[in-house]
Amino acid sequence: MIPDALSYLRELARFSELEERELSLLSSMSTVHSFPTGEIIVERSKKSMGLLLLVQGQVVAIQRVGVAGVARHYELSSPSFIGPTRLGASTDGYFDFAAQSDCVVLVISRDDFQSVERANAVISRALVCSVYTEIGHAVGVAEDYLMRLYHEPGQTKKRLQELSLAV
Amino acid sequence: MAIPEKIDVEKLIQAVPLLAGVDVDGLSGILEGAKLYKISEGGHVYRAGDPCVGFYSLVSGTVHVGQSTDQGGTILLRKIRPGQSFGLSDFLQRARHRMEATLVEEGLVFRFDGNRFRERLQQGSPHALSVIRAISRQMESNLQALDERLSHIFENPESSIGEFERHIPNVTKELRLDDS
Repeated sequence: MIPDALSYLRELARFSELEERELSLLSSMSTVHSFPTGEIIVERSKKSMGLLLLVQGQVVAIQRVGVAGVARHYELSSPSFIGPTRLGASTDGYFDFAAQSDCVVLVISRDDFQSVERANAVISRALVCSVYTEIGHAVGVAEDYLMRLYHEPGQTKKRLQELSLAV
Repeated sequence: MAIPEKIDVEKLIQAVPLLAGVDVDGLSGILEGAKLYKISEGGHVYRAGDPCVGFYSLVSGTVHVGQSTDQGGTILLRKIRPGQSFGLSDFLQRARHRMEATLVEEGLVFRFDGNRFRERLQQGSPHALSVIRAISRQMESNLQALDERLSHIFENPESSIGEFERHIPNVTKELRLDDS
């Protein structure tokens, strides 16, 4: 039997404080998508169908440079939002996100989530805050990656030199 | 050194965009435990490893958020201008601060009390929810800015090399025989 969104959500430690009804609400706004290793989950040039929540597997942010260059940036493990969430003003994406392992992603309808935000109902408050916390987590991952580039300048220089040969 | 200052609520609403959706009546709950500090140039709002006791908005001055290096320098993550907020993702994740926030120009920093704010959220305060929604939007912008900066570094790799060479310790440079 293929697990549904609710099954995946129940397994996530960071969502463990949510009650079953809140998980069910989030599940009702979501569809489950599987991606084999190597497949592109988010394309930079395309606006995603919703908020993409990685619930199984690992992804990596990829930047295509020049004709043949590829820079691999930060890695995201579940649970984590992948790519711009675009709840506020529409934001540009800069990277593709590729599956580093077999992945399962919940696509949460943006329209449905924004309706829940506006409604400010008791049932959904903790759920909405959990989503915001996950956005904060994704920011933290990107910040840590950027800082590592500068803490390891020799490694970064080497990467840039290798990339400049491939471009 | 951080000197507590008296809070003028109406001026605060104008100075802190996170409060844009909140009316004066709704503010009292959110402002419980909040503090406004005057911090001199060079003063820290928080250091890496400090427990996260809240989140911050800059009212005046300039703050640099970043990390110290082993060589005694600083890596700048983000410049904070008046009206902007910081310490947000650490607050949401209930983590210790991973960065340090320093005043590079004397200013006023407003700190929301983390525990009191969470209590308000749990009680269902629509004002607290309005603030946290504003936080989520700023974090989306922060992530976009981070990705843009990363993208810029790597899209012209050859021209970015110099930026990282500056951070390589001098003793390492002397030992590198293969540097051209």
